[in-house]
Amino acid sequence: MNTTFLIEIGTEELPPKSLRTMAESFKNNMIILLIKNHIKYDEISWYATPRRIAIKIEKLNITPRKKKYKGPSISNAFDSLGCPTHSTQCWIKKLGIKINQVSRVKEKKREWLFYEHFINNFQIEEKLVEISISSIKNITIPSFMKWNENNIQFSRPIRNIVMLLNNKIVKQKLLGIQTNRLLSGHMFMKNTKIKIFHAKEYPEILLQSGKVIADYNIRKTKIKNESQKIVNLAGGYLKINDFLLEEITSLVEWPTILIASFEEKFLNIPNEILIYIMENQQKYFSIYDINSNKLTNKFIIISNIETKNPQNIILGNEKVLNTRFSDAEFFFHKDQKIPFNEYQPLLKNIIFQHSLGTLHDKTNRIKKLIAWITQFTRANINNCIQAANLCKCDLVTDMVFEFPEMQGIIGMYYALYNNELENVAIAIKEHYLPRFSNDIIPSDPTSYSLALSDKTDTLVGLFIIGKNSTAKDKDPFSLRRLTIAIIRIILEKTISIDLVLLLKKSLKTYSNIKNDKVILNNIIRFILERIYFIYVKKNYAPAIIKSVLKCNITHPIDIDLRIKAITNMYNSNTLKSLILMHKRISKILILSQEILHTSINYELIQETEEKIIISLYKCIYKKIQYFLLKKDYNSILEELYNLYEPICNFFKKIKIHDKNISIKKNRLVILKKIHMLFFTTADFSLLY
Amino acid sequence: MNDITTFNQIIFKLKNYWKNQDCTIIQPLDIPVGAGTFHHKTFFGTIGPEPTSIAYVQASRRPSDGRYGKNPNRLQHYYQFQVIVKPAPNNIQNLYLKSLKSLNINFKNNDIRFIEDNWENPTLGACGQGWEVWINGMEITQFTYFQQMGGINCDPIAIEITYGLERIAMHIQNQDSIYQIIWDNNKEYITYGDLFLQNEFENSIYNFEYSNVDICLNLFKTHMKEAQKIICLSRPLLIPAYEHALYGIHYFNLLDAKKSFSTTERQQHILNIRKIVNTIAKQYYHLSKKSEFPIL
Repeated sequence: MNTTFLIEIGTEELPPKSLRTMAESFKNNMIILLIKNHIKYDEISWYATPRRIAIKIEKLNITPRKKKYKGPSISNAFDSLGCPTHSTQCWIKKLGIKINQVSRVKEKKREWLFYEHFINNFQIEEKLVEISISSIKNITIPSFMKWNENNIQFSRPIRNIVMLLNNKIVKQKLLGIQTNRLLSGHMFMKNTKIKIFHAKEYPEILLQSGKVIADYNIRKTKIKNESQKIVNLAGGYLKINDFLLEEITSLVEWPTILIASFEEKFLNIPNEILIYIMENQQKYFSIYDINSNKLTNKFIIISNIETKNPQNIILGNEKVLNTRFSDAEFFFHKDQKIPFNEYQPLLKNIIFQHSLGTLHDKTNRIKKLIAWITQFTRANINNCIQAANLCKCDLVTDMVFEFPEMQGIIGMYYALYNNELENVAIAIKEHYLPRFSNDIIPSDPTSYSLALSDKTDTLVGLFIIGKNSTAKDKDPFSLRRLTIAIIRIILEKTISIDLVLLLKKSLKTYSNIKNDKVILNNIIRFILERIYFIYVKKNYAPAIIKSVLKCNITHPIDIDLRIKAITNMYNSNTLKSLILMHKRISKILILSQEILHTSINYELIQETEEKIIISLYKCIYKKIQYFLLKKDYNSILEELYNLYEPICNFFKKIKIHDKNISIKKNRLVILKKIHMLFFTTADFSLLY
Repeated sequence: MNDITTFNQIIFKLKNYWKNQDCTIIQPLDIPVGAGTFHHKTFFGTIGPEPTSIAYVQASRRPSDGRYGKNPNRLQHYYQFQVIVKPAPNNIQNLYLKSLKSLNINFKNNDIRFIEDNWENPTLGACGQGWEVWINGMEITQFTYFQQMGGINCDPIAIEITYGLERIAMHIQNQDSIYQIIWDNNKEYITYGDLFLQNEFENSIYNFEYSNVDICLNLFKTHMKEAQKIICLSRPLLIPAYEHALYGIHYFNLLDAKKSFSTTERQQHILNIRKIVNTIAKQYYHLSKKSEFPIL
C-alpha cells in the first residue's frame, strides 16, 4: 500500500525561537496517537517555515484491519432456555452489536462467543482527523494568543489548513477552517495559491512552484554552507552559534545569503556590543579575520528574498546597522564622561532585592566576604577588593541600561579605559560566570574569588528574605543555578573551603538577622541536595554519593575526593570485601544491642586473633589519621582492606558471644572501633 | 527629486488607504504620550465588544530616546500612524501589505519580514502578540493582536498597526538620516531637520540635564492624585481621569530619563499607574455594559 497523508497548517509568522520545538512536538504527538490507534506507517516527517508547519506520513498501512473480540465461553453464554445470559448481554452491549452478529470460535477444545469487525478506510480517515486535531491542540507552545471571535488559541493566527490522503482532501472543518488543497507560496516571490494534487508532492511542489524550502534542515544546511562559502571568499571565517543559525532558519522561507559591511570606525566600540547587536538584534552573522582572529567590519545578511539586484537590501541593512552602532557609540561616549569608579555612589539608587538594601550595600558585603575568601583562593587581596568595588558599577551606565545582557563586559571595558589592572577588569566581566550549565567558569583567582563572593552573598540574601521557593519545579530566583555555580567554582578551582564557614561569614555581613542558625541549616541542606544532583548528573552512583554525604561533611573538595575514591574502586574486589566486612560487623553490632565502652580492656583479651586484630587496628588507625590529614581516601580504603583477611580469620576462630559478658563486650568494642574507621570515608551501610 | 514622496504625502496616502478600508480618520490626542496606543479612542475603543476602526497620526514623546539630534534615526519626539480595527479581520496582514504597496514600496526588491515581537505596555496594562515589520533590517511597523487592555481581556481581539513614519520616509526617500527627510516641497524643499532638529537638541538637553526632579515628581503625583479623585466621583469622569493619568505617565517618563528612580521605586510607580488605569478600564467596561455597549 502506498498511501500518504499530509497535513499543513498555514499561519502568520511563527515565533522563530520555538518553531522547531513546535514542529517536532506536532510530529511526536502524531506518532504517539498513531501507535495508540494501531496505525502503521513507514515514515513520518516534519516541515516548518515561518508560515507553516506540516507533517507527512508515508506508506500508511490502511488495509482494512480486523479487530477481534472474544466473549464469554459457550457454557456461560446461554442459559438453560438458550437465551443470552447476563454476561453475554453486557458483552454485546459494550461492543454495541446485536446477538445475531456474533459467531463462535473454538480454542483449546473449548468454544467461545466471538465477534470481529473491519476498520475500513473511511474510519482511518476519521481517525487521522481526530489524531491531527488532538496533536495540534497539544503542540508545545510557549505563549498562546487569540486572533478572532471563535476563541481558538494557537501560537499565531492559523489561516489555512491542507489535509490530504493521497489525492483526496480530507474534508473537515478544524480550528475554524475548512481544509483544502491550496498551499501558499512565498509571500513576495510567489504570492499565489498552489494547488497540491497528491500528498506525496509535498514539499517538492512548494520548492518548485512556491519558492519555499519547507524542509527545515535543508534550509539550515544551505544557510550554513553558503554563508561559509561567501565568507571564505572574503578571507574571513564565521563562528556560527547554533541557536542563531536555528533562529535565522526559522525566519526565512527562501534564504539568500548576502555580504555587507559597516563603517570601520565602529570597531572601536567594545566588540561584544557590536556582535550582540549584529546577532541578537539584527540576526546577522559576524565575520572574523582569518589571520588576526579579530572582528571585521563585514557581516552576513540572510535575506528572505532573491532579487536580481540585491544592492537595495544590502544598503538598507548597512544603514540600519550603522545607525544602531552610532547609538551604541553615543552611550559609549556619554558613559565615559564620568570616571568609572565615580559610578559607585550611584549604586545607592539601585535596589538589589527588597529589604536586602541597594547594590551599594551589596558591594560593601562582597568586599568583606572577598577579603576573607582570599585566604583560600590565594588571590591578591587588594586586587580583589578593587574588583569588588567596581563589579556592579556598570549597572548604572547607559550602555548596560540599553543592553542589559552586556553587564560585566561593559564594566571590564570601562575599567580598562580607566587604567585599572587587567585582572581587576577581567574579574568584573567574569564574576557573572558560570551563567548556565556547561558555561565556562572564571579562570583568574581574582575572578573566581569575586564570583564566589557575589554568588554566596546573593544565595544567603535570598534565603534570609525567604525567597528559597520550596516548589519542586520552580526556581524563580535561579537559586539552583546559583548554587551549582558556587559548587562548580569550588571544585573546578580546588578551593579548600568549608561551606559552613563561608556561609557563616556571609551571614555576618548582613545586619539584623534573626534565626541565623535555621537559615544556615536550610542553605546547607539546599546546597548538599544540589551537590547530590551534580554528581548524579555526572553519572556517579547515587549510593556512593549518598554514602559520602551521610558523613555530614560540608567541605566540597573533601566530598569530591571521597566520592571519587570510592568510585575508583567501584566493582573491585577491594570494595566488595570492604562492604562485606562492614556488613558483617554492623550486623553483629546491631544485634548485640549492648552499651559499649569506648576503650578496649587489654586484660580481657584471650585469643591470638584478638591480639592480631588489635595491633593491626592500632597501626592502621595511625596511618588513617595521617591519610585523613592529606585527604587521601584511596589510601584509607586500601588500609581498611588490610583488615579484611584478619577480620575473616577473627570471625572464623573466635566466637563473639562469649559466656563472659565482659569478654563479649570487649570484643564488640574492638569491632566498633573498626566500624568507626569506615566513617572516615563514608557511611558504608548505604553501599550494600 | 520631483517625484519624491514627501513625509506629508506618506501621511496623506495612508489616511486615504485606510479611509478606503472603512476606517474613520481622526486627529491626534493633544496630550504628550509615548505612543499612539495611548490615544483614548484606542484605549477605550479596544475594551468591550463593540466594533471599531479608526486611524490617526499621533505625535509621540519618549524623553529617554533623545540623542541631541545626533543619531540618524532616534528621536525623543516623532510621529506614528496608528490603525485600530476590532474585530481583527482575517486578511489584516494582507491589508497591511497593500498599504505599503500604496506607498510604492516594492516587494520584489526589498526584504520585508515579520519578526516576532510581543508587545507589552505595563502602565496601560496592555499586551499583545505580534511582530515588528522589517524592511531590509529596519523596523518600520509594529503589528499587534491586542490580548489585553487596561488589564481586561480583549474580546473580540483588536489589531493595532503602528507605522513608524520617519523610518518609512527614510526608506522611501532613500535617506540616511531622519533630518534629511523631505517633509514637503511647496516652493522649496522643507526637511525634517529644518522643522525639528532644534527641538530635538533643546529637548534632549532639557530631558537629560535640566528637567527638575522635584517639579516632575510633584507634577506626576498631582496628576495621579487628580485622576484617582475623579474616578471616585459618584458619576466618575473616566476620560478626564484617563487624561490626567497620561500627563502623569509623561512626567514619570521624564523622571525615568534622568534615572531618578531606584528599581523598586520605579516598579512601585508603574504598579500604581497601572492600578489607576485598570480601575478606569474596569469602570468604563461596566458603565458601557450597563448602557448595552454604545459605540463610542
